[in-house]
Amino acid sequence: MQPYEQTPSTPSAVPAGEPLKLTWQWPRGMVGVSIANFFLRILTLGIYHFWGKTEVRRRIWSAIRLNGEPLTYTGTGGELFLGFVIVTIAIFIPITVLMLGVMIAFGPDSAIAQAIPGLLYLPILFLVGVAIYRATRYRLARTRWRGIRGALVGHSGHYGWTFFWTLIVAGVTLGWAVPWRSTKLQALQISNMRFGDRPLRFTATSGPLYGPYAAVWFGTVVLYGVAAALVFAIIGENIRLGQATGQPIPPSPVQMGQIALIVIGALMLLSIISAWYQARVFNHFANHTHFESAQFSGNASAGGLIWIAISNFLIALAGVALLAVPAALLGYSAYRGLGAMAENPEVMQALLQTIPLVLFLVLGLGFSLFSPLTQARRTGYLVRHLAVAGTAPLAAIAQASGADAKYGEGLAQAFDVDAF
Amino acid sequence: MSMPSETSPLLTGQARYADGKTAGSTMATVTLTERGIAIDTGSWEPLIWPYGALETAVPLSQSRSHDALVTYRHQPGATLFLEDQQLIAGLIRQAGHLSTSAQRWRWARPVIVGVVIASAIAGVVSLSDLRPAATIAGWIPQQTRETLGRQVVASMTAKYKRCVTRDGTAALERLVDRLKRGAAGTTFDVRVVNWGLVNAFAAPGGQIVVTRGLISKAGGPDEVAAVIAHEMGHGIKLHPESGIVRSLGLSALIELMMGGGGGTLSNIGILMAELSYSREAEREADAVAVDLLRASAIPAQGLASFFERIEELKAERKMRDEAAGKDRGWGRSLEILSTHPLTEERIAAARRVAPYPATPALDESDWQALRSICSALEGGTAPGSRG
Repeated sequence: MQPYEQTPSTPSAVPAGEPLKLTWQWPRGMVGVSIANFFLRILTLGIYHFWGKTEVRRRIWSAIRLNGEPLTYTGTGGELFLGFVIVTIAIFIPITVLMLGVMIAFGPDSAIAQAIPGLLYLPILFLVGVAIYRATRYRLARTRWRGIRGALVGHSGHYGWTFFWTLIVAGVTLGWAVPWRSTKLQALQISNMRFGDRPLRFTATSGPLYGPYAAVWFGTVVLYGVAAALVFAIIGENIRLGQATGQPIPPSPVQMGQIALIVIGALMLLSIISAWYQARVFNHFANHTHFESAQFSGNASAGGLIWIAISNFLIALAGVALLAVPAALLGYSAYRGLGAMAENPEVMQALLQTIPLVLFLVLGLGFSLFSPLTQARRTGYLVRHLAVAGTAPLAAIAQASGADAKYGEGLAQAFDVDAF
Repeated sequence: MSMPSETSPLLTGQARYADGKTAGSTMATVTLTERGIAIDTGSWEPLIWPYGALETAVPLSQSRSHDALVTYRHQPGATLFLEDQQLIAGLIRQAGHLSTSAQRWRWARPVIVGVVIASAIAGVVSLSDLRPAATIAGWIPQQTRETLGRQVVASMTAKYKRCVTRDGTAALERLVDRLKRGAAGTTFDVRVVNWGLVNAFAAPGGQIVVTRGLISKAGGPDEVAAVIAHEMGHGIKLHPESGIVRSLGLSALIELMMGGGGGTLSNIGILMAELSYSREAEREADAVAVDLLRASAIPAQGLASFFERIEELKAERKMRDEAAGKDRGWGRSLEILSTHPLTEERIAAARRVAPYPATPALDESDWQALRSICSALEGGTAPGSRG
């Protein structure tokens, strides 16, 4: 007898809808995970990356609670690694070989070698769309709640193509197709999502987004105009004099400082505007997402998104600072340890040549050092500002049939479009 | 239920059980028995989940786990959600493999073992004389090497024109032909470029570039012959090709370290900067150079005297830099000393070569012709630019 073949003892005819509640329970030990992953990555020359990422996901998923019970992430590091290898073999190696081959055959300065990156750009845009869809599909297939799997049906090629041509439309319309495009893409994803054998429904139209988007669009134009006018006011005299005398007059340090302030101010205002729009989009999409008799709702705010972005950036900087100190100490003690040998210009030059590599490692590894923490903070913010009201007949939602996706989200890994 | 328990009373509490067939769940009475977790939903016989086959959503820790989602390997989909602190503590005692460190170690171990094995193989390969980069370089067909070499030469000397007086070119050709006597079946394309820097380098496919600066600093034709023979040595030993193969592998490794950023791999510029050699490679090229010089009856003393000249040049530069308080190292990455490290050992080895019957590498008129080879440049306005 197989003991797990039993069924619930109260087989009612129509299972009653149960109320749903979405909460976030801060995952503990994220700093510890950050540090452990950092050392294991170094110890394994980076290969542990995929397993580290998996552990982070398991903890973040587990922090998302539906009716108090956690979501579980069942993906493995081996799957992500395999996806990475597949993408490397199927996409990066052919592209590299093609580029090298063309450069060797026609020379790096030949027209064809210069044109290749441009020619590759279009198919890569399509592949980015495919990668986004596949990454979502993999994650949903590896997400369970009470043992019931999520899923994303539909074709990644279809999504990739839509992603591609709507991007061109967005460019041609000077950005005015952006709300329409993001709604279309979101609809393609959400309405293909399943929990068990039940679909999610997406009813949003892009109309309500156009008001906020117009504000963003004109705000950006005005901002650019004002910034350009201010910059011209500062260096206009230089240009006039330069044209009169035929001698270009470089801006003075004071002028450079003023220009820098204008650029920084403009960028800050731009990111505030864009955060405000992003919050509107998040809430609009959430408010039009349904599952059974339940409806989602979003109440993210510009201030919240900006705060998360700034504080996460500071946390990442702290990671760099944390690595920079031991790296500088190590470098200094190596220099002292060499003693008189460091006087030898060849040794000195060899030391100096390692500096760019060390900088690269400190910056790269430092910025990602606390990424488990920053990812948890960002996900936590979004989950805390996403509510679900209404009911779903949980006891009637069955596991969907269908094989699990076999390999990981290689393309997403490679193209860095990882949402988490 | 009747569980025989001779020892301490068994831990019992409530937990939420879901069978994984639907998203519904029921409260169950859970007991930590010796065999495993017993789950009693009140309907059938209690289920027993043996501890060894349990998994949890996140690793359990004594101080941090306020709840635990337990699954059982042989009943996929079924979940047991524990919030009872005593039950969780008891579970951690019974199933140690669910702890954070145990779980992380289980993941890291195969990766670490893999890396250790790979490092061991790399160590064995580099200690024994296998040289994978050189082996792979040997697989590249000659024609590809030549095209690759032409690209490298073109990009390194893009700003400097080729020196092409008729007599100078003829003298250089005679010198190269003479040196090739000791290296049957090889092809070399040696050119002089109008570049003040003192250097010579070998690119893949037997492409050799000598600068005007080197010829004007050289003390005689034997020194130039020694330098060309040395560069031929690099070419014969496939050092430029190996360098490119090695740097390709290296950039792939860095990419992996960074989690696959993409892009650097295809940067041919990086490859071209990889033309500096190890001391080992310099020693090999010196040895080949001596063989070539001996086979073509050119005095090998040119090598040692050229080295001495470089040492003098270095001392001179150092004094000048120190007087000017200049930074050393940066900006001179293409100097001969940085691309061809010079050591006391190399100088001593060059001095040790026993004399053999030899004649000067070039006669006086050829030598003068070579010295003035840059008075006409390729594509330049000087008459008779190609012989």
